Amino acid sequence: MEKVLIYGWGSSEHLNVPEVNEGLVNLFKKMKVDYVIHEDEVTCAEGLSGLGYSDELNQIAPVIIKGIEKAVKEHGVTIAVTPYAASYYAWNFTLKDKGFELPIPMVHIVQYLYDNLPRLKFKEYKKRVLIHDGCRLGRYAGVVKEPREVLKAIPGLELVEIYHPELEVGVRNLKPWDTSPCPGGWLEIIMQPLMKHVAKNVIDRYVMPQKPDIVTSTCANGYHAFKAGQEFGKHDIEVKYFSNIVEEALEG
Amino acid sequence: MEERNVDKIYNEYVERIVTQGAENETVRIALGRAIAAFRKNRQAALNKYPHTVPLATEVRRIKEYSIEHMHELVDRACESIEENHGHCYKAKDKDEALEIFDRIIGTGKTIVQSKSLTAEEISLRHHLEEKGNEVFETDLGEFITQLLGNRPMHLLAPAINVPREEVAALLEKYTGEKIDHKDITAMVNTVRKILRDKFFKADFGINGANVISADTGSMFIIENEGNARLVTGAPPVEIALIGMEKVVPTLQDAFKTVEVTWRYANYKMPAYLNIISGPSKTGDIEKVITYGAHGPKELHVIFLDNGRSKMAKDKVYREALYCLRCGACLYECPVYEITAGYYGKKYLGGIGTIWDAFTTVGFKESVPMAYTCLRCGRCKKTCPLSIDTPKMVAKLRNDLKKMGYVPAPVRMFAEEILKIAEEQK
Repeated sequence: MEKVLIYGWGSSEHLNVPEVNEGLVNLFKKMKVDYVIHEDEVTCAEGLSGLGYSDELNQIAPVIIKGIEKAVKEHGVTIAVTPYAASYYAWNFTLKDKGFELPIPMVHIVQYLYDNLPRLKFKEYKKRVLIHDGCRLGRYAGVVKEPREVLKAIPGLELVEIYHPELEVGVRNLKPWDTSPCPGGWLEIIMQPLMKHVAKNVIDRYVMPQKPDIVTSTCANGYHAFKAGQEFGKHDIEVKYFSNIVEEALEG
Repeated sequence: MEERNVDKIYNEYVERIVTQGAENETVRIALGRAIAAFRKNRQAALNKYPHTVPLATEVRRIKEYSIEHMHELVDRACESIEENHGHCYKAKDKDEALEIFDRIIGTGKTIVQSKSLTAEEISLRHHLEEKGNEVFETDLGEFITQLLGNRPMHLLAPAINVPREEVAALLEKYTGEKIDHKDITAMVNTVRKILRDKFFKADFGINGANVISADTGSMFIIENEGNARLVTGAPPVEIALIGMEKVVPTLQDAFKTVEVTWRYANYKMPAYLNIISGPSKTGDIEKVITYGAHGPKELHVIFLDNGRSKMAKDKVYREALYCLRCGACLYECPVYEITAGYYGKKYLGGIGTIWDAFTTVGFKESVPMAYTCLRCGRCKKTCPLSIDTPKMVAKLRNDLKKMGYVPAPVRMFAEEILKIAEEQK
């Protein structure tokens, strides 16, 4: 029997987006999936490599692995699910390339939902939703089909993409996730005063012209930036994390 | 002590980029207009000339080869230039380059200059002015920037942060004449009038180049205004300052490189492509070659290293030398989009951080820029040569960390994580 380890709980608390955690818990409850919150988490650790601390991340990677091994032993978890693109990318690419392996697979929530799509029973959700791909998840890792298929399965939901003129240059073969702008979630750590300005501008220039009811991101860090930009810009639009939309649309 | 200094550098920069950049509505308006136009034009240019996309892949290979053989190619280019009756110099750093300029120019001269980032890199205009020369920037955007006492805010559009209303007010102040704040044509005509005679009165013309071919010593200058054509054609002496990374093996390689450059810089075809291989000459009287017929009698070409050799030696940083300076990455950067040139020092944006670290301000001063980049990768997708700026910035951050240069917010964040990890061991 599958048992999920929620990975990234502490990051959502650190970023002050507890609704991401609440949404995941409600989602798993509705899906009748057994889950455990990862308590021995080294919060936001995967971000270290991009901040100049690659050697340190290599040193603490075994600590993170040990923590997950403990969760496997104590709770029998079989899969780690994260709402963070950076965590997914680190354990499936950068750290993996350096020989660090978790005892269980780490998937992103969009992949988990896609893999479980036949089990999901949706009610009608009449909203126009603009999707933003987390940079590491979409542009870097190519996880782009999964979130779209999940949203398309929700009756009444109208999915819209971020537009860029270069998508119309046939020979370039660019897709929305190639050109989608980052709302600047990392600025929270590296240059906090700038984040709300970057996110507001992304909403002004790329989100609002598509006239959605909701903007959603596949990365909780991106979501947290969009939220800050929306509050700062007072845009007449809702900002929701990806799995929160799915949870709201689920029967039960 | 070291860390406090870095924090001071970082805090001053954050204050500047937020208050003068992000909170400045004028910057947002001007950039919004410019970016929309750039994207539309580039879409049209690439759709009309789709062969540019595979050609860019070929140019990437040309640049890889050229940087690998940079010194050898510069030597070959110098031989070609001397053979064409020009003078060639190699400057190790900024001071050597400025010394060469001083030897050629001296003092009390009038100089016209066409837009050159390499000149900006060594603060050439300020140096020549300090030496008692009168220098006129002739690119329209650079001229506006010079009048403002500012610095360029984009590689191709130096005054991109200045809306038309501000340009009109500036020109009114300079000329004392009334200018319609909406009439861009009138503003262009005014600048034309101001600069027209300067080209012909100047003692020296100074230019940069987009690319130079080693086999023929031919420099290529892409432009639309016609100012580079006048700068390189009207004064009696021409001096070109060229970064070593601009050299490619052959004339054919140079043609390919410039075509990709202008197309990705949003032009179907620039108004002018200048190719200069030597001083002006004629053999019309008894086939006796005489120099200085209508154009410059002398041509001096200065190749500038100034950190480029160091960059070329590093497998990761060397990619920065492939940059064609089309400026597209800046237009796609979510931070640049609201801060313009406040994101950078001499060079701009993510890739500019690498350039600044190696060629202008040094590693320590580049810290805040290194921590402005989101590493989102949008620039790489839009770059004709797929230059991996996020990877270079990640390496720079790691190198800065090893030097002890990490700004306080990042340091505190990392220390918190490391503490948690230590507790869990």
